[in-house]
Amino acid sequence: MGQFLQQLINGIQIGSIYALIALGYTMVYGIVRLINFAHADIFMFGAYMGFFLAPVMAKVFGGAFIPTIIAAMLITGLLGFIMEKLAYRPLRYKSRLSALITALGVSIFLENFCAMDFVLFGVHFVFGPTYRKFPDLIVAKNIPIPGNLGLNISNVLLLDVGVSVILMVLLFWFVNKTLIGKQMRAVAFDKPTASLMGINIDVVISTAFIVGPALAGAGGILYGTTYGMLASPFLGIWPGLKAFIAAVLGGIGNIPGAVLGAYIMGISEAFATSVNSNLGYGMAFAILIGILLIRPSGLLGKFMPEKV
Amino acid sequence: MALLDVQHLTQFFGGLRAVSDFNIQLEQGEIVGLIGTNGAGKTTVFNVITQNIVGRKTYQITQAGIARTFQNIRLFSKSSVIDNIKIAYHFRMSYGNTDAFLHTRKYWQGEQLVDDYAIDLLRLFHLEGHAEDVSGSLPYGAQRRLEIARALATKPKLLILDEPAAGMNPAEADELMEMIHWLRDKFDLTILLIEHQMRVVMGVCERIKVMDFGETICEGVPEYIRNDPRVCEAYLGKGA
Amino acid sequence: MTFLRTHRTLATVIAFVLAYVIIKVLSILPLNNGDPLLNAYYIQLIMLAGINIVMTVSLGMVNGFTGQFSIGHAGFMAVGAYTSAMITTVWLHTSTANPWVGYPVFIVAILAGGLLAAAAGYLVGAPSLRLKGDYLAIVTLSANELIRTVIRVTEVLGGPRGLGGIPKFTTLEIVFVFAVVSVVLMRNYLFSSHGRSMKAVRDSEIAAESTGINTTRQKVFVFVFSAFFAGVSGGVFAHLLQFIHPDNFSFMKSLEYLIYLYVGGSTSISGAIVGPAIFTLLPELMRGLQKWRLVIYPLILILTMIFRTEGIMGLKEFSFILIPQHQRKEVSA
Repeated sequence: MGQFLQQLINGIQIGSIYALIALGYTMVYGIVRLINFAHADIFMFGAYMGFFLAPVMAKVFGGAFIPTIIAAMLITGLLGFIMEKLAYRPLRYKSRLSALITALGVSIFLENFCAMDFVLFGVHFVFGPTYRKFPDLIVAKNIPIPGNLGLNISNVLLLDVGVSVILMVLLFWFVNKTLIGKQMRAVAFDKPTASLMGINIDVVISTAFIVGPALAGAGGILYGTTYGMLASPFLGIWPGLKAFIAAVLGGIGNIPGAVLGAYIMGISEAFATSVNSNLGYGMAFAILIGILLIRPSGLLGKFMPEKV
Repeated sequence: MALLDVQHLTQFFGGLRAVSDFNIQLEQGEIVGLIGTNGAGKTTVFNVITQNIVGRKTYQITQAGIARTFQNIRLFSKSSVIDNIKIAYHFRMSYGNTDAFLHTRKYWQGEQLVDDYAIDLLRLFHLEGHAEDVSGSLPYGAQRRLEIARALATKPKLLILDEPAAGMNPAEADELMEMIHWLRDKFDLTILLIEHQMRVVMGVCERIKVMDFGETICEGVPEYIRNDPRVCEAYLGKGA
Repeated sequence: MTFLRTHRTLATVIAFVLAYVIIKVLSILPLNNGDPLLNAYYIQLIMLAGINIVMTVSLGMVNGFTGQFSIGHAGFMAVGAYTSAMITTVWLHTSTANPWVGYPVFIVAILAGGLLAAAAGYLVGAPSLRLKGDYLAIVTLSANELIRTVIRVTEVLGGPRGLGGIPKFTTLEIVFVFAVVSVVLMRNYLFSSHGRSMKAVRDSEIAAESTGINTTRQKVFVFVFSAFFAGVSGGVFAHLLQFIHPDNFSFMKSLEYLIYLYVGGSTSISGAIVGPAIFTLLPELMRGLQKWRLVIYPLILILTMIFRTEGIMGLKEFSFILIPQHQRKEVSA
């Protein structure tokens, strides 16, 4: 029983990080029908921003966590905005495939650019490719749980879950209550009609490309705090892939679906990993194949046949 | 025996009943029209016939002898005009994957056959001069003709035309009406026409079915339809 | 010349043989201060370019001509590389010392690698290609990483240490024969009724289905034979490098093939030949930038998509690739 609850808790922790990434995939897909492959690398970028900014923030503000996560979110949001402006916008009216290819291009570029080691204008740019120790944004300690189940809950875990839930609540409020959020839903539903209703599509798309990456940036900080290290600028690939599968599982384009899918992914992975570490990897694929065979539209997604 | 016999077709979308208890029998060689206002269920009937016959996939329905055209033309726009025709002949081709990889004698024979077939068909539609052009670059009227030619290349028994007169001016519509008669006689076809333009339907169909809100409200020869109060009501509203 | 126009297979073979002769002459004649212009290193690069050409052309069959989006081609290459290397090296201990035994085993081994890759292709393609949408992309990406992970944790395959001691069966001649046979076969398929159906699926799946084409079967078949050629390429690759590692076949490798394809031009076989040829040989012309390769390539890809979406070749083909569309006169004569 204790073991079971422990894995459940671990799953919720990792699921929270997946959820922050999955939301960005699903928002962008919902609005421009594009798998933004570079999203995983924005997550990576956020994590590295944490690595670089935390010492500065600690000096300036005294405490590191909140200023770092906000700064990282601002930077990744800006990166997302620039990315859409430079790479995707020129392709908006070309074939969907060319945008997808460009997304792959942006992804390869970000990964390999960050893996370089060079000096530009006297600044030494180096993210990787070497292993980095992530600074301690909070002092990790275990919180004893009364009872004899042997549960192990750390304050990092509470932080991960807490921050994700706060951001998700903010996102739901943003999408459901603000004007721009409502416009986003309208565009996701029917772009041409939304445009005829006077909604500025450019602004809506830009917003999606700011909000999604900002969430991924926060996810990156949580990832660094949780694992205490950054392996290389390629670290985004696996969590990104799993988060994307989670988004497909929940129903791509569906915001609550992405969160649901991410927690299912995190929890099933935690259980699989407790049996065998390689099984943990396999879980994502098992879920993917399950989706394909049983419910391609995802748990909360609607199946929309192509109009003739 | 009827060529196509649809009985008691009912289709729901969510809670909405798009079509209820629809019946139609098509006899060999008939030209039948299906009309109705927007949302009357014409397209649903159409889709059920061409895509959803129980247990059959779309391509199997085509192979069984039902061909169609599309309301918004769907050519293979990057392929040449003649290739559009050849593609429709694909399921009748006599050679397999191995012949395709190795370009065996069977491949060359098959290619020559389909080439002759396609050119002959294009000639009937006055498109042979455009055989090598990219089909997406043809003028609108020619694209419509090519789409019909492509449907015929599958050698159907029943041809279903989905709003073929859409976007045509009266002169073009007249030409189309002439062509529909010619098609039926030349290719020994049965034709089901789904159309908005009353003039075309009245001018070409021998029998017409009128739909409104998923129900068949009236059926008969054009003269009868023209004078039926229910049809006037559906099109013009009550009291008209 | 008229003869060549009607016998394009011969024309393609002649084009490749000419290329081979030129390369061979340049690798022998002492034009560079007593040394040949092409030293062993360049020859190795040219061989890699040949393998990359087959990889890219086979990827183009799926992505360019059938309009699907497969992004894990290196996974199938891995299946072929490891299968063939296991057969020649671990199980049968063949060596180049006795070519009369070695080469038949090698050829059987790379074909076996191709078949296993094709089987993997079927497993990946069959469930995802019956669906429309972006499922294939995510499934092929996942399959690529899954295959690599499985190799990594499988001790028999060398695990994370890689698999070495593979006999060097791949020579310049082998690469040329392999490239010309593969390209001719795929070109032939493309210029057939089946090839036309591929393009029909690409242009409009709904219309293709309505003209009686079993689009799912067509897509899956193309995907499977594309995986087959990737598998054989993997075998040839393994017996060139003599050492293979799971990281040789990472997702990044698949992305390189996508770059070759889309920059060269995905809707033209010639483009799928030009792309990898340029990209494999280009870094040698800018030696100092070698380490920036994977930063510059994606930028070239992005710029191509923005300014010349159809790639270098667009819809154009070299004349030795094309097969005349109207065979009527030529055949009856």
